[in-house]
Amino acid sequence: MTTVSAAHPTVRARTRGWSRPRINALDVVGAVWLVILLAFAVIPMLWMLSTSLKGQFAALQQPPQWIPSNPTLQQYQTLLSPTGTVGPVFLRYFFNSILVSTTTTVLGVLVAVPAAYAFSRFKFPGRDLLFFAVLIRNMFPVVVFLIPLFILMRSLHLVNTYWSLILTYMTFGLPLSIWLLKSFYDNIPEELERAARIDGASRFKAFWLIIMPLSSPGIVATAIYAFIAAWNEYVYALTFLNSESLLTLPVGLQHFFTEFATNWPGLMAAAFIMSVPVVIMFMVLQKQFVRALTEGAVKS
Amino acid sequence: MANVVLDDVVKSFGDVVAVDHVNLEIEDGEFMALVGPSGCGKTTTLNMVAGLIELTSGTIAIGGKVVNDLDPKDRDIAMVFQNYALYPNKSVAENLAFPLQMRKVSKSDIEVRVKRAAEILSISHLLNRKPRQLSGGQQQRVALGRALVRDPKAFLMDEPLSNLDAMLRVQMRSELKRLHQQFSTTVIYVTHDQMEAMTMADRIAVMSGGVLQQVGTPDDIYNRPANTFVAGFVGSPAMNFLSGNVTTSNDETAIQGSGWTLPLSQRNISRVGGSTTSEVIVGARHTNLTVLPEDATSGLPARVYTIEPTGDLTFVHVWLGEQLVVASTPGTYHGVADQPIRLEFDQDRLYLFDAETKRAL
Repeated sequence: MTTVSAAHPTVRARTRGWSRPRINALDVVGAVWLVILLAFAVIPMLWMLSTSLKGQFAALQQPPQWIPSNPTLQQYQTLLSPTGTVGPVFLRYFFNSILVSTTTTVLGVLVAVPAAYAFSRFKFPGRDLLFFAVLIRNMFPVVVFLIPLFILMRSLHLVNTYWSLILTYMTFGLPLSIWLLKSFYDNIPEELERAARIDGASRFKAFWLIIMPLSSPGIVATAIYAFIAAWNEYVYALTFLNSESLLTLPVGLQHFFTEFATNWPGLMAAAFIMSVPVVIMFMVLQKQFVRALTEGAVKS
Repeated sequence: MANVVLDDVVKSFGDVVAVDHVNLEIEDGEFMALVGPSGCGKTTTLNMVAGLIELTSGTIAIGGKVVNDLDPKDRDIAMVFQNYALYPNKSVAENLAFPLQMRKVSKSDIEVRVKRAAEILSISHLLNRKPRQLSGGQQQRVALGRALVRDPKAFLMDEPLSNLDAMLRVQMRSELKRLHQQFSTTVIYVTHDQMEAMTMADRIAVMSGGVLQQVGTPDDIYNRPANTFVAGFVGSPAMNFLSGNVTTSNDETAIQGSGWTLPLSQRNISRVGGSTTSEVIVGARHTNLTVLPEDATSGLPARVYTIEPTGDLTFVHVWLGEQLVVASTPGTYHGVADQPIRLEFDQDRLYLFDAETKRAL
């Protein structure tokens, strides 16, 4: 918003001499629309934060308090304290979520990178068919696979393990990851690795030293995508896991909701904590992510 | 430094034969240009020498050692690519150092050699820049530098100048030639530009359709082309080709085309005797055709089609019977379209080809 209004006067001044900057009607509509979108995204988060800082009573007060009069961190203390009844359970969920999402992300990238590179660089019989087969997974809604995958996991004795989720999330994340990364590699000129190989690098070294760094925005985007998908997933986690000690946050929060139906601030504090890792990840990797989505790849 | 020998090299992609039984020896220290139109197999040939493409059959030897099964990194060659292929995330210095790092050269040695290469190519002031901060000509120099830092057995160059603008191209052409004279390393230089090949190379290999058409010095290629393809490919504007039949009447042997008859000199009569059929192709470069006034006593009657002044030379496109040919005249020539003239062929510089085999007679 600030850039929009700040950039225009100079541009106008250059093109029309020093006449008064004019504001286009479209600019105004655009700005208003952005404000609406921003509000749509941010207000629920703020409301969640606000509620999590209130006492039990204040949370249900009518009319609602937008800014808590007596903010308290008590809910956070309860959730994050390793002793007590609630804290250890919540931290366990949190740990499970981190473990499952991180493993999914790391393994997903480890599979997607070489797969995408192979699809991009090598010609082998059945390549197009295989690539299509990878993508076709995305044509079906995720729920369609629930029962077949459950049966599969049961016969593999993986039900009620972390692996049931990790493998499932990888299955769902990989097609898009491979597709995204392939388009990245397609845009990196093949001459670069040819040059590297002639300069004395093996094929793997050429990939590792030259191509990998160039595709890092794509890898980051892929990783963020895989992590968030795994972090938020609910249906499969609910179906595949029964042990309380294995539950991930989305399912765990659901338990909270039924057990502590009246404790809105507690629930909101838990939800807020759950959003923190994703927000941090985005803030740290934002630049790379935006570059990946806008630039596509290296300009040659 | 080493020689490079291609022995009966074939490359096919499925049913398409890209390189068809090529035999070629590039001598130690020689500058060999591989020239031909796009798709003629010259780049494929180069990539096979580099080890980037596998051979279908045949052998390639560098310095007496067959390298068919060697990785590019083990062939000890350097290559310059058309789009330069500079590593975008590395600085100029790092780009230059990369081939040395890969070969485990000591750090101090790398520094010395990078500095020296940068000095030779006048890019010392650019060492800390990233490739995208350089102009096309500077990128080109860095690409050359990356090849020069090592002391490879051979330089392979794949159209290294074709992304430069015309003026820079001419400048780099002479610099490259100078560099070759300085280092006398074996060079295989791929280009579609016959002018580059003619000006820079010790010898030229002309390719078309995957087949080697002729290998020879620029003088051979220009003055003694083996067939109509080579004759038409080298020289600008291209050689004029006229097809006609050899006829003899009243003890005079001539070539008769549609709307023109060209009497032959004694030497040329014996040449056309070698043709498999009576049909031959006459080749004449624009410089070997003289535009004479209409009332001249020699030459063939013709009519001006259009006139292209270029300064020193003026190209005159001429209808000879039903065929258009181009002749050059001094820049002082003043004619008008549709003007009748006479066109004289230089019999000593006449090219004659068998119409069936397209080979030179």
